[in-house]
Parts: sequence; C-alpha cells; structure tokens
Amino acid sequence: MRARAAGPLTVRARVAIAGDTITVDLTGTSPQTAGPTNVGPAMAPTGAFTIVKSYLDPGSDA
Amino acid sequence: MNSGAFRPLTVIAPLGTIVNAEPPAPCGGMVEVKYGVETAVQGALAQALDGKVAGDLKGGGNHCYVGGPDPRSGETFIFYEYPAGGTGGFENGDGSNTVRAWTESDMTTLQPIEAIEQLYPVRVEATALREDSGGPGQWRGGLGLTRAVRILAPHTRLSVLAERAVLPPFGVCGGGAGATNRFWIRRDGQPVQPSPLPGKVSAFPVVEGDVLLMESSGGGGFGDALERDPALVLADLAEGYVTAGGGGGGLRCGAGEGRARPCGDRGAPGRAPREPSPSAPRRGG
Repeated sequence: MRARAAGPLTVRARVAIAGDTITVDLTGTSPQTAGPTNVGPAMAPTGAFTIVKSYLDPGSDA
Repeated sequence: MNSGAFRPLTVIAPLGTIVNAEPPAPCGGMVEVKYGVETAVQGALAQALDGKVAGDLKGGGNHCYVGGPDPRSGETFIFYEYPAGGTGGFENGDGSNTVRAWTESDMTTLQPIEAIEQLYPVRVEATALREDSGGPGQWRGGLGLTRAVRILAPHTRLSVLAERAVLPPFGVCGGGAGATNRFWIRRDGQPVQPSPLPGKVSAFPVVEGDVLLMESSGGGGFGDALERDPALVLADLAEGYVTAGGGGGGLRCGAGEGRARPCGDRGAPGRAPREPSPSAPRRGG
C-alpha cells in the first residue's frame, strides 16, 4: 500500500494517432492511493474508449 | 458494439497508479478516476479535433450518504443519493441541465420524494436547478441542482465521495468553468463545512434537524461568453438560469484563473466564474 498523497491527484494522458490506431499512454499518472481514489484494470480502457467513440464516431452502433 | 471496436485503441495504464491499482487498493472512487481518464483523453484529443470538444462535467458520482438508526423502527437506514449535474457547452449548443452525463450509464440520480420520506427519517425541503452554476460561454454549461434534505433522526452520520469540489469543471475554447460541487450542512441557519477537504466527507456526525445541502456542478462553458447571443442571455434570465449579479452563464466572463484546456487552433484558455454563493460554508461540527 502506498503512502497518502499530499496534493491533487493527476491523470496524465498522451494520445498518439498513427494510421488507423490510437494509443493512449497514461504514464505519469499519480501512484495509487491508500484511500478509495483508485481503479482496477478495466476503467482506464473503458474511459478512453468512451471518449474516442463519442468524439470520432458518435453515430454508429459499433 | 463488440470487442472489435476496441481493436484500434491501445491504452497503456501503468500498474500501481490510480488508473490501474494493485490489490488490495480500495476502489470506491472508481467513477471519479474514470472521469479523470475521460477528461485527460478528451483534452489531448481536442488538439487533433480543431475545437470539436465540450466543456467538462461534474467529475464523479457525487455519492452522498446519511445513515444511522431510524427512531421509528430502530432499524439502521442509509439514505443514498448521487445528484446529477450539468453537462458541458459545445459548439452550437448549451449543456443540459441536471442529467446523467453522456459518459455515464443510464441510471437514476434522485429518488422520488414521496418514497424516501416514507422509507427514511428525512424531509426533502427543496429540489431546484442551481442558478448561476453553468459555466459561462458563447454556449453555456448546463446547470447543476440543489437538493435540501432535513435529517429527522438523532445519531446519523454523513459521508460524501465527490470530485470537482475544489477544481471546477473547466470550460473550453475560452468558456468559463462551471460551479464546483458542494455538499454541506445547514445547522440553525448557519453553514457548516463537514470536512476540511470539500467533496470528501467521512462519517460526519449530523445533528437532528440539520439540513443536508447537495449542490452539484454545472458543466463547463464553450467559447467566449461575450460572444453569446443576447437573446439567449435574456432567455436565461427569464428562466432563472442566471441572475443579474451572479456571474454565471454568459452575463460576464468571470474572473480568476480557469483550468485551461487546449482547443485546436482556437487555443483560448478557459476562465473560472466567481463563486456564486454569498458565503462559503465554514468548517464546524
């Protein structure tokens, strides 16, 4: 378990577009906390996908 | 949608960070972190989209709990609501007022008053749109809500898990920020701040007769508020969405540093409005 963070927590994202692929790199994001402000492995891909889908392809079903 | 939709997308989430925590890390704030990911990805993607972007959202689940023994039955009760907020303004459209955001699932936000007043020892004294909470802009952020709930039981406690209670939902392309989430207690007519860190409250002792105020964020604005159509400003005034001196929704740009986000070649930073409240809740209890 990590120490309590002293300041605001940061989510840092670098989005790279290459051809027909997008890479979202969250390196530089704050270490996990002792409190509840954490997620497991599913939420980051889900959140990134929600945004990419919403902005780039809002109309289609897939 | 199927798994193939994810194929063009690679997400690198380093293990041991808040976006990919190792067991046994508690993850009760998962919605809050998910919003953080969405906000960051949106901000980065906006640079490639020439301003096709929307103002920020309330930033989390806004979980509010009041629990304790119900004096009518002796049973333990938990009153739990998670107020929706405003969504962000976007090019050619104001944000929506007090709805579940477009990144959330289709779930409820408030429970029917008739039901909760039967189930729990509480009385709902107000449910209203929160005036001046939408971020100013050419396209205004949607409004959050205000819900006032009087607690009619001794020995209850309040817990809150929310984000955007310190840093407001930012505006984009020169738009202003929405109002922050606020969760506080009114006791004998006086505001009481239930924790030193707004939005994070753990088992604050509620006094019978206290009123819990849940005030959710408005969405961030889009574009320069001075460019807003005056007819829309007048309509907002007539609806009570903004007030003449309140600093919200396009009457003036507001003051202070906002949470700037890049916005294609428009590039103008967001600006934060003045806090609309007459007095900030004080620490107490």
